[in-house]
Amino acid sequence: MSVPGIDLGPDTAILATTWLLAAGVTLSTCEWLALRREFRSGGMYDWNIISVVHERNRKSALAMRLIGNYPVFLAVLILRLAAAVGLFLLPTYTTSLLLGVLLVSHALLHFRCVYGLEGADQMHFLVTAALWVDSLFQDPSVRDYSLGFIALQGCLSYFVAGVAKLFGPLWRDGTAIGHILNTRSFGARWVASFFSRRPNFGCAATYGVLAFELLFPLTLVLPTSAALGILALGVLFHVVNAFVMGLNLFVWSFVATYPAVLYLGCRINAAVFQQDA
Amino acid sequence: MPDGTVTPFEEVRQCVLDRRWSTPIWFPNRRYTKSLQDAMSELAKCSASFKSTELIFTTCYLTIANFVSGIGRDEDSQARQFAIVMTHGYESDDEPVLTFASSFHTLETR
Repeated sequence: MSVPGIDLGPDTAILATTWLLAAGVTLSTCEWLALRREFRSGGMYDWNIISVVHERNRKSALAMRLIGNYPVFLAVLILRLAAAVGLFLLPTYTTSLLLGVLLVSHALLHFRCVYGLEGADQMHFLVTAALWVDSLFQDPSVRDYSLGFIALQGCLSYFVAGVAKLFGPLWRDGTAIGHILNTRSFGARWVASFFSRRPNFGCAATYGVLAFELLFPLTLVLPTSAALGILALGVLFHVVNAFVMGLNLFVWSFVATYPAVLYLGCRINAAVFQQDA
Repeated sequence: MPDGTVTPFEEVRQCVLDRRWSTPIWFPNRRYTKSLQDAMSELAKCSASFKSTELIFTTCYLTIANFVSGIGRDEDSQARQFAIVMTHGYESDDEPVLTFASSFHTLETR
């Protein structure tokens, strides 16, 4: 399977996805390590407080009694970082082991941090799981299913987000982006001021985001050049979000699905053209 | 205070994202701020469905109380109360709205 100018075979798509995932998880884990003091007593993720949730669930309480220990959890984070960096550096026969470490560490992180996780973490988990299944079997059909899962997950994430926005009156009347960037959680004073003075710009941005999210699944059926255009818009969308809203990890986690989206789109296009011929 | 006076509320800056030139690439504090915001959102929901005697044992309440008790304090302060206030953003003159106010919690003596 090839795209004009791009040799996008399944192996290339898997490798590109793996590297983008590894970059995102490396960055994410370094950020957690920068917050390591918060896992100690008195910190934001003080185990004496977080464990209240798990004490109600006997199964997780047993598992988490070990992970709640600060040095053990620090070791988990360091192991996670080593596994993510290893995906770049170590031979491919270690990939399933490294991805397995990432999966387990993600599950532990999810238990240990009740608050502060985001959509980028969920996407990292799903992409890791699909890549891990692929690495276990090393089979062309499993590889296709893994890439298909990642591609559909990427498309579904945007589409569902777009549909959910349609139910919001502020998204329908075109003022949502202006409102979001006016908040102190996701905006900044200069951005709020900019959009306040240019409501038409805010309206265009609101409908632009809606259109992008709702139409993203078309990348699977459009000609490759048009699909590449939408994916380039997607990269731009996440980079702008990183600058304006501070959502830096979404760049890596969502763009990690793009090689699979492109690959599946090529497969669908090829199948359609073959049928026509 | 020991004499019974109550000092004014102080805004907690950690609830607001502190942007720098590096934040599009490296932004660990976003996790910290988001954790606090997640806990505040959950507390707003829980406060409507839990009795106050149950609420103080929820993870969200304990997380915020733990955070607030860790903020630097006056030597003489005896107890601490926290409140969650919703603002209307940068470009608004509307008054902030109080969404939750805790009881007073005694601080450990130093």
